[in-house]
Amino acid sequence: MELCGVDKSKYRTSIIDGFKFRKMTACEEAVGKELVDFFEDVGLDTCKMNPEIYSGLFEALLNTRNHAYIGSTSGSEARCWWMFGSYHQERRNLVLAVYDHGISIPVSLLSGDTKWSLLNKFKDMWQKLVGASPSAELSERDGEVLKLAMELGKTRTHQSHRGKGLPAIDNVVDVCSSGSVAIRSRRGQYLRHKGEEPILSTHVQPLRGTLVVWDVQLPEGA
Amino acid sequence: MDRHVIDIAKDFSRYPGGRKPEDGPYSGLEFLEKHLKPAVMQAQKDHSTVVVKIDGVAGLPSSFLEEAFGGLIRSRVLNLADAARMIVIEALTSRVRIYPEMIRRYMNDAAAKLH
Repeated sequence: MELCGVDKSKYRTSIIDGFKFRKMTACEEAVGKELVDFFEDVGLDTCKMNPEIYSGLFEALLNTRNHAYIGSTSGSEARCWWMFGSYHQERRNLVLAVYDHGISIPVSLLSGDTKWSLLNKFKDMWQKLVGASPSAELSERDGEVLKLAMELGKTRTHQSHRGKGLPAIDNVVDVCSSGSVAIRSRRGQYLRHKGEEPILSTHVQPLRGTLVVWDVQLPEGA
Repeated sequence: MDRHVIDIAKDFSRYPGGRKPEDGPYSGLEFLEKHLKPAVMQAQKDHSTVVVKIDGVAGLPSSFLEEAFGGLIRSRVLNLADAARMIVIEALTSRVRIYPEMIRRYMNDAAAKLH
């Protein structure tokens, strides 16, 4: 775990201008434990929080952890993920960022190792949209891959804010008062503010893995 | 008539996990096998009910709930009608009142897929 930067003996939080920061920490425990540790580090009381915040973030992080390294040739010692962020008590502003340096969402969905149940549906829709078959090798349309995969996942669950898998990442925003989620994976970027349509883009330079950042205002009582 | 009470936060975990043990500790499957199913089977023997208390948890991830309660129906330990009669989901605080309906929906969906 040294490779991942795990050294929990070091002081890892600080307070600046009302924000309590949790420094980037490599995660080695189960998702639930890591999430609760994060909340406690930034001063959030999980007993009072809206439980849908915990549930939504849990599903989102679990999805990230379970799919980041499918088929990856990285050594198991490097298959970890990192979490950091901050919380401002008065503004109820939570920022939570999660990064993995895995194979990226487009590759995890479209590679030969995928177990994505919506792949055939995705292929049909992609063919109609783009006029070609989707490929994990092509990164020029990563932004559109993220958006279409998100839409498909939401359509299947028929639940506006309690989905599993990829939609879970997006749906966290909907149980908060306001805020946004940004997903950057390989060359794709998906950004959505609560109540608005997502904005997608494809960058020239790829990012290795996936970075997800939630910047939200928690509901009253959280 | 005795009631079999399961307090998820006290008897299992304040931080329920995902669907399967490979998702980490306190999974829905673990809850089903170690707590819910034994309590239901005992309640069937003594014609009583099972009260599942859900206050006190940090949250109940949807995959946890689906595996635990949908899984109970899939296991055919009891049918949907018996589940509605026998299992009481106790949510005393407003922060967890969304969950009884979610649990009912997961059991309904699981029952619908059995046929």
